[in-house]
Amino acid sequence: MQFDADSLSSALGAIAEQDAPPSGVDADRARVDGRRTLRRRRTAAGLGGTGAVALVAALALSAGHVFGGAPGTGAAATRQVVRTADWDPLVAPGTFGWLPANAPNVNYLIAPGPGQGSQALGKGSEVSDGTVGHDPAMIWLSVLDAGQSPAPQSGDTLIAAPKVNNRPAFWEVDPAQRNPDRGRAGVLYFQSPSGRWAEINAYYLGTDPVAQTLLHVAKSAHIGDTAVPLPVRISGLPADVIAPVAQLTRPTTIKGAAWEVDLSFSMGAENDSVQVQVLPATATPGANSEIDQHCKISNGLLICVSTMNGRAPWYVAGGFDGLLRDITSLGMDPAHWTTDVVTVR
Amino acid sequence: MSDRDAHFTDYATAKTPWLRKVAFLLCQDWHRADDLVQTTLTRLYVHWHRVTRVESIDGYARTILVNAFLAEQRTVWWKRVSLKGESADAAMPDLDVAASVDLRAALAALPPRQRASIVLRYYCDLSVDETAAALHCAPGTVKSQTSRGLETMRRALDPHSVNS
Repeated sequence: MQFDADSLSSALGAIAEQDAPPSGVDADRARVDGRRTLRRRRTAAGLGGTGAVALVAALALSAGHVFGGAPGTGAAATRQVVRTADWDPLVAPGTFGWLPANAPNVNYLIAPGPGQGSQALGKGSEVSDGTVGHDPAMIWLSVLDAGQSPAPQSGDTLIAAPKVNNRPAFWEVDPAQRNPDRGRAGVLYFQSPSGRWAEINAYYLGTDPVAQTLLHVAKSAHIGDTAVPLPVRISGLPADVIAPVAQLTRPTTIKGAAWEVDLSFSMGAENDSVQVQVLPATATPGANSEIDQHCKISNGLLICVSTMNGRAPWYVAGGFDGLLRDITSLGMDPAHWTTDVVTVR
Repeated sequence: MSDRDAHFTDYATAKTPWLRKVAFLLCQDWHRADDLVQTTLTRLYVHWHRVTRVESIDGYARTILVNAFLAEQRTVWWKRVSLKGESADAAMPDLDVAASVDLRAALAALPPRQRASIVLRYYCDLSVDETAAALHCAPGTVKSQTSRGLETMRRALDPHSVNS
């Protein structure tokens, strides 16, 4: 097929117009599920406390809204939180101990998603030019909300797994197979010492037995909110700014960059956010040449700020230049990175 | 049925075919597309009170859909589903079966955000700014994601044309 970007619109339209199976979408079910969600949210709002806050946050996230602060901070989705101490926008629900050799890169992310606060990800390498040449190993670690028990996806079932550090654990399996190994993949739930349940969800594992690999990962993982050191310190943001997105990604799809930090700060309207991107200054020049960003290179790091509408938000004193001045590079050595990322003014 | 529910049902019924097409282009699987649209409609119902304040209900629904798609790439639950066996897709269009298969494969090989950028820009005919709003990113990011996606698709499709 001759690739012609100009005819791409009509070609995509032709694909979308192909004969589709009967729709499985049910508007009535959406109304019922939606009403149930609203009832739960009202109940949660009335209860208060961490569990309720977590639920509200999940709902706000699911609609693509901003939410208040990082997991474990007690920040509510529906109100601004005024910070009184320096804080880290990237708080992982736990950290890995041992990881298999084909998933050596640890990523952390807090990002909009249905019911997910934050996750740690052990990941293999992938092609670094933005294409997907093969499937990198991925081992996701997430922690369920307090009081929440493991719940299998529709059609799956749970079977007992060997205890993890003397606490109960379950495999999520296909009931017909009842095999923890789902073809180089697997799902393991295990209870942490605090009583919270954690989930390990792995794909594209190597040739080692899946069950053995996941149990090894689980036994060596630390479950509990952990602030992730980042390579910048940011001052000048208001005390009630929130951070709906925070990611430390490695490897990246940007040539010359072994890692990438993406932060998004917001106040008020959901579109009124400012993005901060931090990369090694060795990132290939021109990789982001089309991006309308304001950047500086400092102490070995490329630091860029941008917004969706190209205008600095009202809450950023001094505009983009002011914000860039207020971001201090801590350099390439992770030993010098900090968890006191956002300095309260 | 309340007015709210009636209005929602009318909208959902009318827009489901369109949302399914967008979802299919994003995820390449009609069953996953249905799940994405179902999720979208549920969230839309929860936030139906906001639609009077949004400029475009279609844009709001499309943003929810794209966010649901991108979020599930992170939760990767769909890969669990796919492990149980692939669904059989429907017949391909009459136009050019081979070209359509190639294009679908090239689109499917893109990273999720590049794919979403391509679909929103070229199928939904959104501007860079509108796409950026839907993806919650900077316009420049949309430009770079689209550029990279197009280049990847071009590399994937052009060699085939030489042999055909």
